[in-house]
Amino acid sequence: MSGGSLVDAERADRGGRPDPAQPGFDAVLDELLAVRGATVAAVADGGGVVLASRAADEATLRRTTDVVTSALAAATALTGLLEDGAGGAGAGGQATAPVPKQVMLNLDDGALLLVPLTTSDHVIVLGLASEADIGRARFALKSILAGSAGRLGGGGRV
Amino acid sequence: MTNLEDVLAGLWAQLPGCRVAAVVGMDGLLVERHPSVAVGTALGSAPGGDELEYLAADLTTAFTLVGGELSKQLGSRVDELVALGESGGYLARRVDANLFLFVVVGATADLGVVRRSVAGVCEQLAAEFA
Repeated sequence: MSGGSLVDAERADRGGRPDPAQPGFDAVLDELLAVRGATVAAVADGGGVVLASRAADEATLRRTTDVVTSALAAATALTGLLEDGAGGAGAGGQATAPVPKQVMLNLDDGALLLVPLTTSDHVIVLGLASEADIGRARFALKSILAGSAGRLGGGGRV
Repeated sequence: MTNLEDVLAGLWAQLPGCRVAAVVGMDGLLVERHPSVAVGTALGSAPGGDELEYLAADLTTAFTLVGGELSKQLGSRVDELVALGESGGYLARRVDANLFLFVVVGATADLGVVRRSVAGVCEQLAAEFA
């Protein structure tokens, strides 16, 4: 088992934002990695920087973290295109970036599930051995996030 | 957390002639199945991984379709679908708004027992997920 600790997470999150998620990272990541088919469990910030992680092996973790930033950026851009640039105008008339509810990537060597949390800008990242594991992972993730909403600063939208 | 695999294994074991039992999300994604692809292939009776995924997607479409005008005409939502052929059949039943359970059975299965068992498991799961 490898990956960052809470201390690593605090170091990684240099934005100075209040971060209600961190006290719950470890337990939730352990639960996520225990889902059958899961190879990587991680929490990233909205920009795709991995704050804490667990993985079956180091190489898989590295491949996943390499992809997360690009995947989130691409998903956000695509969501904006699908919403025809509307993106939800803020109170001052400024457009806010739309947030994808869930991103699934099918890769040659497995699948990747990205689920933004509802009340923070953190994103749960779950690497899976096979695309056949996506349904099970989503189901498990929903239960785990519901049970950990307090620790993580909001559930996901799976 | 409910262990779906155990629940499905129990259902599969109590239904003679059951080829596979599975839980599927209403978006068409297979959540869990029993027996697993590897065991099912070894047994030679359960559908393979790809076949079951197509089946799950088709049943999701069927539930969506019958959730429209057919349900309106009935006056209540259609919660169960049964498809029978000479060599067996399919039975799918809603667990809740997001999930349904289905079984594929051979020609020797007793449909009454299958319906009762599946309904019982669906009620159990619905209570646990509520």
